[in-house]
Amino acid sequence: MSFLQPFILWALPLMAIPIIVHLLNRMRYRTMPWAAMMFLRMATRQSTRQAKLREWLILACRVLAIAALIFAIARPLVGGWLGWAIGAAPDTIILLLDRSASMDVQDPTTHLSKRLLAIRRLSEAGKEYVGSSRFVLIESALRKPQEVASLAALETLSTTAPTDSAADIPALLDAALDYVVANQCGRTEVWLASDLQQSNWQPESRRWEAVRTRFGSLQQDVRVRLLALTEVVTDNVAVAVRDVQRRRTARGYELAMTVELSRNKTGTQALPLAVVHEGARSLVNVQLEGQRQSVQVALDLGQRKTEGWGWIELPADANPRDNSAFFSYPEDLHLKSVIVAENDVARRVLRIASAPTPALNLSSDTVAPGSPLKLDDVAMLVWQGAVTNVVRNFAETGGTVVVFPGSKSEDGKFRVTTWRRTDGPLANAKDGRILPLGEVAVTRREALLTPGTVLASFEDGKPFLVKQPVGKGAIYWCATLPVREWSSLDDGTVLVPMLQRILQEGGRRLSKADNNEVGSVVGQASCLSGRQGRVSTDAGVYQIGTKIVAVNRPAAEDEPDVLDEAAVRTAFGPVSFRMFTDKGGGSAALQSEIWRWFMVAMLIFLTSEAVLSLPKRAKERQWAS
Amino acid sequence: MTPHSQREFLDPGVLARLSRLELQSRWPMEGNIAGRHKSPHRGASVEFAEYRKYVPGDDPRFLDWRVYARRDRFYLKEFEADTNLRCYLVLDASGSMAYANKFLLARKLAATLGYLAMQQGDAVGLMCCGASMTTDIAPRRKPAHLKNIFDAMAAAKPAGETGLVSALHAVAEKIRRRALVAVFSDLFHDPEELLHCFRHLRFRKHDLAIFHLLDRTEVDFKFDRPIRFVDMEDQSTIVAEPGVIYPRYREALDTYLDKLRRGCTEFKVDYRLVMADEDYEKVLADFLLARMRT
Repeated sequence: MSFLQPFILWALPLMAIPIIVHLLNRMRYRTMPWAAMMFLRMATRQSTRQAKLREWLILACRVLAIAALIFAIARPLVGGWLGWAIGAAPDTIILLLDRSASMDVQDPTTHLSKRLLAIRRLSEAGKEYVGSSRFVLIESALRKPQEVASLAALETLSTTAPTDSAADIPALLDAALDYVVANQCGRTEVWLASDLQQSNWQPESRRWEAVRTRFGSLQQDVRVRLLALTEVVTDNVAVAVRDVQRRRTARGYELAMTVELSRNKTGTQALPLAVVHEGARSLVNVQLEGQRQSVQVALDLGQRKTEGWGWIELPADANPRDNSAFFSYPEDLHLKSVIVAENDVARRVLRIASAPTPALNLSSDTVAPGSPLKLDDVAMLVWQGAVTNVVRNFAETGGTVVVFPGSKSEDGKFRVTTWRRTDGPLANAKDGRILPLGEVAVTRREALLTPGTVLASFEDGKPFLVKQPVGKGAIYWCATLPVREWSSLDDGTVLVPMLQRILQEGGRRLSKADNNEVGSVVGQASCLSGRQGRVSTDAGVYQIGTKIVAVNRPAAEDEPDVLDEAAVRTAFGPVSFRMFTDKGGGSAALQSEIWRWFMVAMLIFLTSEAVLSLPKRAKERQWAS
Repeated sequence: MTPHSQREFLDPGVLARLSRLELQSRWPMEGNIAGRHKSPHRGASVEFAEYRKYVPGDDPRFLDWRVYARRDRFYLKEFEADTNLRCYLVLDASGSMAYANKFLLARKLAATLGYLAMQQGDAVGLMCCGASMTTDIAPRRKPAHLKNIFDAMAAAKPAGETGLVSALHAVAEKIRRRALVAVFSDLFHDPEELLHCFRHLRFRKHDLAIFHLLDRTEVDFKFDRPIRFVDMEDQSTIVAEPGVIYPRYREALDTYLDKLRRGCTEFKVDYRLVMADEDYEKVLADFLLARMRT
């Protein structure tokens, strides 16, 4: 417990006043010779216990009333983060800081971001233990333990600066546990500051079970204290570029972008969207209706065939980190696919599906099985039958491969019932329409035993499409062939978008431009956009070798869902855990004064004292009457 | 009797006014001389009692010759006997009697009653019972005897625990003939034991009169702050808040008084509750008049 005016506590001995007055009164009792002692003895014998108890209660009420008054004047700071700093100093205090983009939401009155507020709270609480405990900082972007010599300098460290990354809270706790085990810490306290964003906490993840198990197996006494900064700021709009495509037009090229705007509040809001491209700034006025809205923005590229980049900007609001979205677009790239299939019908269907129209600058070649393959300029390889090393090497270098079955395995009537609709080759269209995968009739299929991510599965649970990451690329395994004997995939409603998406994915390896999320790109990079930062933590457009990479904060960072206390408690389970929810980021919340409660307590004590005294007098009057 | 003690106990005006009243016993007394009180025996007074058949051995002087002349039978004519009274004053000199002016009132009542009894020719005795001393003066009819009684009263100092119960038992045993026993005390003792004494005295056919002396503060118990009460008999102390214990105090007092009253009614004891601030002349006048009416 801390106090704003701690010197007032020197007045605490005044609590003894009622006791002293009580003792003085006892000493100063009027002495009276009394004859009728036999009645007095009878009366006191019956009421002594009750009277003594009441006397003690009255005395306690008086003492506590004075104590409450003194505490109220001393202006206590209890119940907040500062209030936690009680007890013996632990050996190590590990500060876990959520540095995700969502932590940079600023309080409208103090203009303090949650991240900054968390740092200050941690510093203030840690002051109590300076000199007796060791402070270790692990932040969410890099998750590397760093000993902190001075808590005062915590705010100025580069490792506490804002980032555009997402936080992985289970991984953060894992890093803390690794540190505890590796350094054989004694009694340890883990102070975690986070905004409880659901996408960062991933409460459904099985890693929480591992975290709980690790906490339980520790020999040290490790406690977790969570500072939850869950204040919801309504005046914030986030922008993200979800899709960037170069298109051919009658006049040349245009850049088609899907810009996603999301916000907390509802109602109509006019928003000027600034599009910056090659130093030129143009404004697009957008009328926001709901909480999440996609806007199609077209940028005329003229006859420009080379790659380029830019960004989209929103006016300043509560969170400056989500007001920019960077993009890069590729040069006018010819995407080539190679089809290697034994089945003639399948080969023809796959070739058409890979390059359905000449307008898209696509081409597909068919190669007979067993023939030598030249794959240097190929974006996608469509393969039927057993996979060879050539295919694997192609995937290793960043290409994408789609493998179709070569032999019959199982006949019957099969339906695809579940598939991943949010992303990947089977995702819904931009306008929300669902791929008609459920209407595909499969009469023959091959069991897929390859490990990987199941993107679609039949109603009996067996996989229809599996993605196996290999090196820089990936191999997609399909359970059926696009021929009549196998399935109705040959009608193209599913096959064409699926192959086109896989082709686009494979084309990245050939393009000089790429769009990525913060954290997925590491290495030496020079920032092309105005804001200077590191490619691993900050959004922007970077030059990496000959490639231009636009790096944006992860899409999940724009998700508004926040965990409630029950969900956090469930996540921690039996771990010794204490949570303080700070819903207000203002200066008042920093102090979190509770002197009013002490004043209320004082009134309660005084009222109790009066009540304890009154009834007997009433009885006396009754007897007297 | 010293002038001081005379002035203290006796008010000539009160004595003059009360002299018009007689101290009468409620039951026949056994005196050794003629007096104003009825005797259980037949005597030679002028008041006719009854005729009785002559039996051998009767004194022939009391034969009614007129009846013999008319009926030719021997009858004796008998008359009521009047005798004097032994008045035994029992004065409680325990420490509790020193509270307020209870002891002074007790002495005034006892002295005045003794004086009145002596005036009408009755014998007056005194027993002063305290913790350390017990003064016992046997009943005498001589007026000079009053001096001894008043001197003893003047010398008595209330102190220590009460010896009233044992004194009353002693009186009951000691006085062989019927007597009037007047007790002046605050009776701060176990009521069961007190009633046992009263029964003992009544069993011996004594006319028992109790003057129960209490101070008004002992009944009302009105104090406004905590007080350390010091027992006037054994000096033990009790710290109490009167406002808190008042209900229970009153309950104990009322129970005690009720028990005492019931016992006195049962044993035909002449019980009078006297407040210390009451006019003792009125108390005595009421006492004497009530006896004259019975």
